[in-house]
Amino acid sequence: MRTRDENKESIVKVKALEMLVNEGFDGFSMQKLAKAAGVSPATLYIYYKDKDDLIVKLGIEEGKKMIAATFENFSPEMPFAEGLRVQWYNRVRYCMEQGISTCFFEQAKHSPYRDKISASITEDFKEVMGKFIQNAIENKELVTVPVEVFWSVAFAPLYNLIRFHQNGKNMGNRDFSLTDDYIEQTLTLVIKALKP
Amino acid sequence: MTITTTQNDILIFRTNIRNKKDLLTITPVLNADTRILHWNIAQDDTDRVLRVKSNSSVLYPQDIIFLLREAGFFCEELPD
Repeated sequence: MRTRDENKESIVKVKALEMLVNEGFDGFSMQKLAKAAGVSPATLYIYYKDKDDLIVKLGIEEGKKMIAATFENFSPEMPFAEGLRVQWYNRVRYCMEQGISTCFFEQAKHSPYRDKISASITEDFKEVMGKFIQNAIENKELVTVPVEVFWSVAFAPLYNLIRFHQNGKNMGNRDFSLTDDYIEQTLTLVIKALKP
Repeated sequence: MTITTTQNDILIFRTNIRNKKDLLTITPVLNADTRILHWNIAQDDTDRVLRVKSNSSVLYPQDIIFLLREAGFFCEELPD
C-alpha cells in the first residue's frame, strides 16, 4: 500500500531545491534525493513520474509563488510609478527571502525545462502586466516601446542591484549592500526614463 | 499537521527495460491493459523504474510483474 504524506512531500521539495541549486540539474538523481530527504525512491515516484517531472513541477510551483509575491498589494489599476515601486520592493523581498528559489528559477530559465515551466505560469503574469502597461500608456505615464525594451529599463536595473548585493561586491569589487536609498535613487531614474 | 492519504492507484517497480528496443517491446503490452491509465519508465534512474497509474484498485503489483515477465523482462516492486 502506497501512502502520500504531506510532511514528507515538503521535505522532499526543500531538499530537491537545495540539491538542484548546489549540484546542478545534470548531477541530480532521484536516488540521491531519496537519500538526502530520508525517504525511499519508491516514495518519490508516488509524487513524481521521474526526474524531469519533478523539476518541471517544482519550477511551476516556485514560479507561481514568485508571481504571487511580485503581485502582493499590487493592482494593474495603480498609477504607473506607484505600481512599479510596489513591484520593485516585492521583487527585492522575494529575492532576499527566497534565495534558493531565486537561484533555482534562474537555473531553470537557462535549461531545457524552461519552455515547459513557463508555459504553465506566464499567462496570468502576462495578463496583469499587460493591463498595467496598457493603463500606463493610456494615462500618458509610460512611453510606448517594445516589451523587451520596457522590461530592460523597468526591471533589469533592479536585478543588477540585487546581483551586487548577493555578491556583496559592486562592479569594482567594492563592498556593497543594498539599501532603500539605492533602490529609491535607481527607481526615480527608471521612472524618469520611461516617461513619454 | 500531517495529512496522509493512501495511493492505491500508483504502482512502482524496478525493471531492466534499458533501451528503445525494450521500450518498443513493452509499449504495446502495457498499452493493451485497460486497467492502466498511464505508465512511464524513468530512464534516468539506474533501477529503470516503471511507474503505473491505474484507474482503480483492481490492478495488483503481481499483474504487472506477470505482464513484464511474460514479455521477457525482469520486474519487481520497488520497496517503500
